[in-house]
Amino acid sequence: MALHKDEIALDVQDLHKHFGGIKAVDGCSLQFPKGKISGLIGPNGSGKTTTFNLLTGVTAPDSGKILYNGENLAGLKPYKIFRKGITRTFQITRIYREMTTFENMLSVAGLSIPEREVRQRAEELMDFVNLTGLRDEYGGNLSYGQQKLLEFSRALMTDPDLILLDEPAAGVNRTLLVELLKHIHELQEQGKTIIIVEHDMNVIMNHCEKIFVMDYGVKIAEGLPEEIQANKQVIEAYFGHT
Amino acid sequence: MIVKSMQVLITVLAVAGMLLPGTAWAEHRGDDTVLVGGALARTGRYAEPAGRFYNSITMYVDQLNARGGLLGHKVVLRLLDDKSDKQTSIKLFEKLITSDKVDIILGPYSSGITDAVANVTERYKMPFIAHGAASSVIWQRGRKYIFNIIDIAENYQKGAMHLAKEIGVKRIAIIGEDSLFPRMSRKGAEMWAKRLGIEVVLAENYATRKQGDYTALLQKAKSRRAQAIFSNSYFADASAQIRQMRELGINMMMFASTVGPGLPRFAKDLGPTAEYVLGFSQWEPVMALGHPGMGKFIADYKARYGGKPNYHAGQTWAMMQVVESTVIKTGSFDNVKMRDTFATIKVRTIIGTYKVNDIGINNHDGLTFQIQDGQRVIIWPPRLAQAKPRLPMPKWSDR
Amino acid sequence: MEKSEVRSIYLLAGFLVFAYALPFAVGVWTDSIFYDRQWLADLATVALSGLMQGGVYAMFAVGLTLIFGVMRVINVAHGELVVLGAYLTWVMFNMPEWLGIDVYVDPLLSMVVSLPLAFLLGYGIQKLLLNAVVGGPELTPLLITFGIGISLVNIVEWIFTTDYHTIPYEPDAIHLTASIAVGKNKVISFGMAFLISMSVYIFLKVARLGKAIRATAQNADVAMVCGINIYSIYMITFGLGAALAAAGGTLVSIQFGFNPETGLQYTVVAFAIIILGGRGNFIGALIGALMLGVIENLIAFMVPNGSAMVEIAAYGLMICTLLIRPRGLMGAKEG
Repeated sequence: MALHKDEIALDVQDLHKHFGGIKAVDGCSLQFPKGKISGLIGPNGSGKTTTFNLLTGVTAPDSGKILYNGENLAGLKPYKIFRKGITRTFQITRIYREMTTFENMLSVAGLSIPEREVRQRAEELMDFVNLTGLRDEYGGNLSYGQQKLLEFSRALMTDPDLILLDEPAAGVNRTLLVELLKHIHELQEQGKTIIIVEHDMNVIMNHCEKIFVMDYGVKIAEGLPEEIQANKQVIEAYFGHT
Repeated sequence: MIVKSMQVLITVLAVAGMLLPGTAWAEHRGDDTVLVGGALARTGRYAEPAGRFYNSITMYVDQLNARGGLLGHKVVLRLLDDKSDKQTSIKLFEKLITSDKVDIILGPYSSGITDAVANVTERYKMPFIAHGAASSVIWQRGRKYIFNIIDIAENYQKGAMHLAKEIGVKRIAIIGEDSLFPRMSRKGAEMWAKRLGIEVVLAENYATRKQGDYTALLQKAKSRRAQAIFSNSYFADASAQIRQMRELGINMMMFASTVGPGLPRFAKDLGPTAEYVLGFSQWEPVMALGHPGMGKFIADYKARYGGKPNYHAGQTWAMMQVVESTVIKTGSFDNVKMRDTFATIKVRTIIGTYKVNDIGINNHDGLTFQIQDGQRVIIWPPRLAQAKPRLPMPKWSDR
Repeated sequence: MEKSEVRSIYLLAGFLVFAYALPFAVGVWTDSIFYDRQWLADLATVALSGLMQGGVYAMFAVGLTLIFGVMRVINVAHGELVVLGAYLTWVMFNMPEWLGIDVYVDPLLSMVVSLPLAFLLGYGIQKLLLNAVVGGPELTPLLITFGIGISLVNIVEWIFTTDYHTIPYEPDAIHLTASIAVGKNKVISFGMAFLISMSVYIFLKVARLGKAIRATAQNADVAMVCGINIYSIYMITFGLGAALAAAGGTLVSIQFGFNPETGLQYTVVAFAIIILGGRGNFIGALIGALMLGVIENLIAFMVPNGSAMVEIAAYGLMICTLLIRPRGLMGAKEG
């Protein structure tokens, strides 16, 4: 069960976050395995997105540790965490609507490579997600799925080691989803660690190697897909405490 | 019973006495000093001329104390900052009179503020000389406790208008800031123009805020074929106007401003552009005027502040001279008695004789000067002129 | 575009046409229009001068709109920064004389020193006073800039007194035709304003830092998760805004008189412009500035007592824009 230190990409220890009286994350400990696709699931309001926000610095935790390469990231500003090689996408895509696709790609900061290489990289990534044809289109004019792809490829601009995807399947049609998942697997093959929050159980069960289940701000289960499917507590959390 | 009632009555009277604005007994100040107070613009748009008032007042009080003060009392000066704001000034004078209980008050700068403050001083029967106000309307409201010392606003363009007549100007534009004093000097200019048979083709005021571009107004004057511009203006507006006339190549036979050119910075900052501009002055530090005490005042001022006093400094010094003479003649600080002395006394000041008429206006004659070779030179009235007027102004292209 | 959006832009355009036609109508009505060559030349001179004035206004407005666009902070001290720029220029202009050297520092050249100084001041203000409160309640940064403005006025007053100053720079006329002239300093100012605002525009469009500033303006949250240190962007933006204001101050100093209290009117003008052009929009600020400059002059030229009404132009445009189309000509939609 317990992973060796070197096998852990992100080690979350006893994370707490309260909003007023609501305990959004209430003592959560998660160990995401390195080089694998992990899934983070749970019913609505179970604290998944808050956890994502805590991991990427969008909100600061009240207490707890987030260890990454032996360093505690808890409480760091988002741009600092980003520059350590952790990027993310959002449940509702966040792109710059008044910048072109290409400008969106180039807006990423903290790259220590020359401008020419940055541009080349952006071109490659747009090609990777088939957005080259929309290079000079304003972000606001892209379809929802295209915006998702843009956000996804932008998250790859820095060649990050850890990628957090918040509901990549939501609002995306089948064809695009297949493509997106293909890209995700390609990234994994390159040795990257991927964490997905997702409602679509097909995506989670068929593509994740390890699954964490949250409810009421705590982890209630973790394991392989088949283990989770058989877990009584999980079923109860999803289908009601009868 | 009767004794008890008397005690109550006395207590009530005493308390009432403390609450009421009392100045008659203020000279019984514990520390044997006399409090002279007022509010002046230390900040805000009037701060420059009012700063010269401040210089003269502080220097006068220092010299006064050195020669023994007023009626044997040391003079303590309390000058507050009205921020060039009417409402602030009203509040400060109210405070000076009712809570600080000043013995003598000194007037503020600008006609607008003086007019507002006069309502307060009138109510408390505190007399003062409005050394910072030249609008005659202030004395047309039946007030009894305010006295004029300087030439009234209506006469600021009198000399320039006579000179315009002499050089054959027939059509003029009168422009000015939209506030009390420039409006009064506009009224005077219109009156003098009418009297001298000069046609006013444009008479317009501009927003007080506006310190920038007068192109449209100047073009308007030009398109109506005005031959001279009479500008009832302060520094910022007057300097912008003459500069823009040059920028636009607008040629006039004369440009006469009221207050702006009198400030030393005008000729210095504008350089050759300021040449030939006419301005009005209540007084100039020129010995030829022949008023007693001028030489010493000019020398003292120069030694203390570096630079000659201008007319703002001069008229304030004259005001202080009248105040001192009035207190000595009255023999007390009783405000009502002082008022009667102000109304009747005749004092020879450094700017001329102070002697007011029955509504409180002094018959002071102002001077019209022209900037010639970077200096202010008196050119009107003729009997006091230091040099011949250089008019009409040459065309910009011929300079 | 939504239907109501299209309608509001037409309404605003219609209103602007009306606003420009109004002074002409009043002019006809009051007989202040003469139908001759001379008058037309005067009108051309006036409109041209309004355009030039607009160029100076643009300097204040682009800085203000940049600061607002990136931080949603209304910088009430903007006019005071303009005046500070004017004083810096004036000090450098006179410095050799005070030191007894017989040369003078060209006011435009002095920008080489005054703009970096203003940038550092803005940078420092943001770092020390504003970074902590950006993103919180909007009133807090507003009150802080208000306090900064008052402090600046008092400091400048304390050092330089309230005397008015001006710099006699290139005072002569350029005659375009026999009867249409424009001040040399106005043309130089306009050229400078054009050059500076275009440089800033290109910087924002092309440079990587410029892109980061635009990214932060569009969405600070996204910018942060894209690795942009928004706090350092904020400091750079405020510095840039302050430098632009100071550049405007230099242009003011070579044309007009100024004293420590002059700033307020320029804050009002800049504010009206960015409302008209669209808060946070750079090009909108440029267009708004030119439009205000011209309409102010048209009113002053043709309406009787129009010079007393120029304030109405600024406030009127501002209020009507807020009523008809709150996002202005080119601003992003709220929310």
